[in-house]
Amino acid sequence: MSLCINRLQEERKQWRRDHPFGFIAKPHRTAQGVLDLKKWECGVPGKAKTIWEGGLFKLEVTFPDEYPTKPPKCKFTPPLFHPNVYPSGTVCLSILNEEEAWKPAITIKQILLGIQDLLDEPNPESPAQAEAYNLFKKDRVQYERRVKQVVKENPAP
Amino acid sequence: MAAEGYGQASDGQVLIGEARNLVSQLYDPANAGNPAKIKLIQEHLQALQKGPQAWLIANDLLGSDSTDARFFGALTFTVKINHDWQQLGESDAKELLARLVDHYVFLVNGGERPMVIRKLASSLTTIFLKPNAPWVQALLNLAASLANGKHIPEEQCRSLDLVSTVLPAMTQAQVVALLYFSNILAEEVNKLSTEARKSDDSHRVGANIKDALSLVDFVLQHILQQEASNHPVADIAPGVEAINSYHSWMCVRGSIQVHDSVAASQLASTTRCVIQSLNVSQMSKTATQVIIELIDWRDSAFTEENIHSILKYIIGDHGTAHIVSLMDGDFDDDNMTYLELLLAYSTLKQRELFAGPLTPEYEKILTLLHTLFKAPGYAAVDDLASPLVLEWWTEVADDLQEIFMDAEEKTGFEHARQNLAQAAMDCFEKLMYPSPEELRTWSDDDRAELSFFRRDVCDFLLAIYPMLGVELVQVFQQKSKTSLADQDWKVFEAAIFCIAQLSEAVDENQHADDCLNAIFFADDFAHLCSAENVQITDKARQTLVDMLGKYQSYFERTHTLLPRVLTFLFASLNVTSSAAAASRSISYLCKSCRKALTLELPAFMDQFEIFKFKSTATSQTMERVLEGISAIIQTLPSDVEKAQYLERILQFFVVQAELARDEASRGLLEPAVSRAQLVLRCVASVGKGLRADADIVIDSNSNTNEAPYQVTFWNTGNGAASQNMIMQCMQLLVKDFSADITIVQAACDILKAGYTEKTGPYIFPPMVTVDFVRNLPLGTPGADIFMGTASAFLASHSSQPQLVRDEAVALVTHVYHIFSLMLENQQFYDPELANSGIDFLSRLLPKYHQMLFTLTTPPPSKPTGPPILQAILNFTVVALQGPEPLPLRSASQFWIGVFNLPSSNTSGGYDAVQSAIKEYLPALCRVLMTQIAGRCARSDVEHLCEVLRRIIFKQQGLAKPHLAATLAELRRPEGETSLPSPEERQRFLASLLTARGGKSQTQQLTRSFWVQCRGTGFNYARDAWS
Repeated sequence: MSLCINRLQEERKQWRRDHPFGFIAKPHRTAQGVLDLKKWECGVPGKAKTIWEGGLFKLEVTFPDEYPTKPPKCKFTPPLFHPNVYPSGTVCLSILNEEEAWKPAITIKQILLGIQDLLDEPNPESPAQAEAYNLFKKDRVQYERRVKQVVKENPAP
Repeated sequence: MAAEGYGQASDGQVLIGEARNLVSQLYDPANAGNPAKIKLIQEHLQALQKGPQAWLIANDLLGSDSTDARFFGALTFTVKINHDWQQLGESDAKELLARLVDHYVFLVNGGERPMVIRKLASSLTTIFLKPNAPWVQALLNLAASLANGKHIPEEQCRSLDLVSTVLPAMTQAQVVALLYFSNILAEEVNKLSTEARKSDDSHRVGANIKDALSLVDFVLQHILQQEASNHPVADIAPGVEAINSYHSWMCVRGSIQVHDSVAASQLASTTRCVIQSLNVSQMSKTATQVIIELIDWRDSAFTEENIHSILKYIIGDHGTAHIVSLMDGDFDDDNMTYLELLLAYSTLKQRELFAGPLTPEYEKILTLLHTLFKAPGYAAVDDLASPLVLEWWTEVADDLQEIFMDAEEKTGFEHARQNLAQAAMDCFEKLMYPSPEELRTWSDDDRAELSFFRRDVCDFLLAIYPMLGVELVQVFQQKSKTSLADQDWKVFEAAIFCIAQLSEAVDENQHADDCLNAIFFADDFAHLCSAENVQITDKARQTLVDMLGKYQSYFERTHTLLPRVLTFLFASLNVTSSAAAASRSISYLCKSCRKALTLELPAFMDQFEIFKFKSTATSQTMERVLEGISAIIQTLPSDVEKAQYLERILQFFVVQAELARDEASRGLLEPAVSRAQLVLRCVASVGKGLRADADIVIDSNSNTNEAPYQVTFWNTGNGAASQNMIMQCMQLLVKDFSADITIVQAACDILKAGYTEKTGPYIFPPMVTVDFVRNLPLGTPGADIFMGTASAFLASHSSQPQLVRDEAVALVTHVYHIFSLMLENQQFYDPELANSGIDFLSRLLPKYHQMLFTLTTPPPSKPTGPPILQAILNFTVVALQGPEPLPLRSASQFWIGVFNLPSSNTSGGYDAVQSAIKEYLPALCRVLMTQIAGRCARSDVEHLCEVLRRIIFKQQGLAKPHLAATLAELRRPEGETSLPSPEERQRFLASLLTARGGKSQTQQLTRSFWVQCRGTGFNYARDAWS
C-alpha cells in the first residue's frame, strides 16, 4: 500500500518537474478538498498534424493498491469514439495490460504519451468498440469526419 | 603488453602510418560532405583500435603533433582497454597505467587542450573502474605525478598529504587537469548500476572521496579568498568545475556502499565553500543548482549552520537582486534558478514558516513568496515565476490541510490561514484575462498556457477551501459585486471564475448559499440578465454561463431565480463563445426544474423562435435547447396544450426536412446532409425531453395483456398531427440519407424515445421499428446502432414477449435473410453486419429464446431455403472460425448465452435449446479446438476459451470424444513449427477436463497450449517502449 503511495508521490513530483506540453495529470481532489493520489484526472491532447489535433481528451486514471506491480486503469470520460476504447471508456493498450507489456517502470508520462500515440494509430488487432472499429475499417472518410466532430466537442483550452 | 606492443615494431610501423593517415582523413574538412567515405574510414579505424597493434597505435597517436590525432590516441586507449583488459597481467596493467599517467602529465604540462585532456582522463577512469585494477588512491597518485613531472608508483606517494604538500606544489593548469579527472571518475561511477559495483571496487572508490572533496575545497578556498581580498581571480572556470565535482562526488557518497566512508563533519568545510560561492556572481548559478538538488535529496550534508547560510544568501543583497530583476520582468536562467532555490529552501522549512511567531528572516521569506506573484505580465505567458510559486503554495496547502484535519485544536492555524488567504488574493490578480485585441497577438500555446495556469489556480482554491471555508467564497462574492456595479468586466470575470471553481466544494452542501444569494438577488445582476444598460464582454459572459452551469443544485433550490437566469442563458445562445455552454445549462436546468418553469414556457418558446435562425443554432445547441423546452412541455397538464407547442416546434422541422430534400435534388449534398442531421437530431431530442420525469416510477407490470399499441389522443385524436409530423421527417429523410451514420443514429433515437413511455407522440405502431430496420439498404453504416434499436424495441416489451411475437419473428427473419445472403455470396460478407446481427440474437436469448429455437422451418418468403434456426446457427459457427475479431467475439458471446439458458422441457418433453446444442456440439468442439491450437489470433483465445469452459462444465461427457478427436487430427501446414506431441495433447485435454470449466485454470491452460502450438518463440517479446 505504502509502496503504491510512495511511487505515486514520486510520479507527481516527476510530472511537475517535466511533462509534455498540453497534457494534464493531477490527483483528483474530493469535494472536501482532499487529494486522492490513487485517482488522477488526466488530459491527453491530440497530436499535431493528425485528425486529433486541437482536441483534449479527459481520462480518469485509477491506480490499484498493487500499483506499480499491477497497471493503472485508464478510462476516457466521457467514453471516446476510438477503435481501442471500450464502450465504458476503458483504454485497451498492451502497456496497460498486466499480462502483456505492463512493467512497473512505466511512468505516467509514458502511459499518457502511449495513449496519445494510440489515438492516431489505432490497433486493428484488438478492437474494443464496434462503432469506431467498423467505421475505421469500412469507411475511413466517415471515420475521420466523426473524429473531427469528437475533437470539436472536446476542444483544447 | 610489452611483448605485444613494443616488440613488433616493423609490422606496427605500417599500421601506425595507416592509422595516422586515416585519422587525418577523418578530420579533413574536405571529407565532411562524404558520409559514405567517413563511414568507411571509421570502420577501418575501429578495426585497428581492436587489433593486436592498437596499444602501439594509441601510444604513437598521443605523441603526435596534431590535436585530432592525440584525441584519437586517447580514444584508442579506451577502446583497447575495454577490449583487452582480461588479457593483461598485473604488471602489464601497471605499466599501462604508468604510461598513460606519463602521457597525461606530459600533455598537461605542454598546455594541451581540454578536449584531449578530458578524453585521456576518461581512459584513466576506464582503467580505474576495471575490476581489481591496481589503482586505489587514484586522485592522490595522479596529483603527485603531475606535481612530480612524471609518473610516481602509488606505493611511493601513500605518505604524501594532498592538501598540505601536493596541491600547493601544483600549477593551476595541473589542478584543473586533476579536477577534470576527478569529475569524470565520479560521473562514471554514478553511471554504474548498484549491482555493477563490486564491494571491493566500492572500497577503492570510497578511498578517493576525501581527496576529491579536499581538491574542491582547495580550489574554492583560493577563489573565495581572492574575492574577499578584492582581487578576484581572472579565470573562474576551475571554480565552476570544482562545484560540479562536489556535486558528482556527493552523488557517489550518496550511494549506499560508500555512505559511511565520509562523515558529514568531513564535508563541512567544502560544503561551506560551495554555499559561499553563491555570492560569487560567475559561480552563483552552478552553486545554486547543486544546492537545490542537495536540498531536494534531504541529504545529511547540510548542517543547521549551512542551512542558515543559504537563508542569509536568499534574503541578502545578492539574492534579493534576483527578486528585483524578476519584478522587472527579467526571467532569465539566473533569476529563475534563484527562484527555485528560494522555493526549495521554503519547502524544507515549510512547517516552520507557518507554525507561528516568525524570526525576521522567515518573515522576509514569506514576504518574498507573496511578492513573487507580482512580477509583470500574464502568468505562464510572460511571467514564468507565478506558476512555480503557485505550485509551491498548492503543496503547502495540501500539507497544511492534512495537519489541520488531524488537529483537534484548530486555533493554532490562524497564521497559516492568513497567508493562504493572502496567496489566493495574490493569484487573483494574475487571473485577469486579456482583451480580445491582446489575445489576437497570442499563439495557441500562449492561450493554452494561461488556461493551464488558471486551472492550477482552481486547484489551489479547492486545496485551501477546507481551511478557509466560506470566507473564501465571500471574498470573491465581494469582488464580483463591486466589479459588476462598476462594470469592470475583467475583475468580474476573474471573480466569477473563482466562484465557479469552488462550486465543487459548496454547490451541493449549501454552505455558500448566502454568498450566492448576495450575487444573484442583487439588482445589478437582474439588470445584467435583462440586458438593461449593461453591455457585458463576451469573455465575462462565457465565464458567467459556465459558472451558472456549475451551480445547478443551487438553482434547483432557488426557483425564484430561474426565470432571470434562463433569460440570460437564452440571450447567451446568440454569442458564439457562450452558445455551447448556455445550451448545456438550459437543457440541464429546464429538465431538472421543469415543474417550476411551466409558466415561463411561452417566453422561452419566443426566445427559441428567434434563436433558431441565428448562426449559433447548430444541431448541437439546438438539440440541447429543445430537450430542455420539451421537458417543460411535458409538465403541461393537458395533452391538448402539449400538442399545440409540439406542432409549433415540429412544423419548422418538417419544412427544414423538405428543404434538405430539395437541396439534395439540386446536388447541394453537403448542406442537405447537415440540414437533415439537424432535423432528425432535433426531433429526437424533443422526444428525449418529453420523456416522463425520471422520478415518476412507471409500473411495467401493470396492465398485463394490454395491447402494445392502443388508441390514444396521439395517434387518432388531435395529437396525431404531431405524430404525423415526426413520421414525416423520418420518411422524408431516412431513405435518401441513410448512408450517413448520424442520420441513422438520430432516426434510431427518435424510435427509442417512445420505448420507455406509456403515452405520447413518440409511441409508434410496433411494425414501424421492424420496417425501419428491414428497409435500410445493405451497406447502411451503423449496423450496431440500428440492430441495437431493434433489441431495445424487443426489450421494451420483454414483460410480455408474446404480444410482439410477430414483430420478433419478422426481425429474426430479417437477420436470417442477411446471414443467408452473406453465407451464399462471399462478396456480400460484411463483418459489421455479421457482428451486429449476432449481437442482436445474443440480446434476445433471455426472453425470446423459445421463439428463436422453434423457428425450425424456412420462412414463407424463402420456402426453398434452409430452416431459419439452422442458417442462423451455422452462421455463428462460421463466425467462430473466421478471421474477423468482432464477429468471432459476438459468436462466442452468443454460444455462452445459449449454454447459460435454463433447461425448459415443454409439455411434450422436448427441449428445443438442448436439442440444438446436441446437434451443434461436434462442430463447436472441432472449431474451438482447431482455433485454440494456434490458429486464432492471441487476443481471440480468451473469448473462445469462455465457450469451451461452458461446454466442459455443462456437456463434458458428450464433448470429450469430439475434443479428443479434433486434437488427435490436428495438422500443421508444411514448413511451420511442429505441434505438441500426441501425449502432450492428451495431457492438455485431461487437464482441461480436470479443471471442469474453472475460469482462471482453463484460461491458463488454453493460453499455454496456444503458445505451445505457435512455437515457443512466440510470446510477448515485443516491448511497446523499446
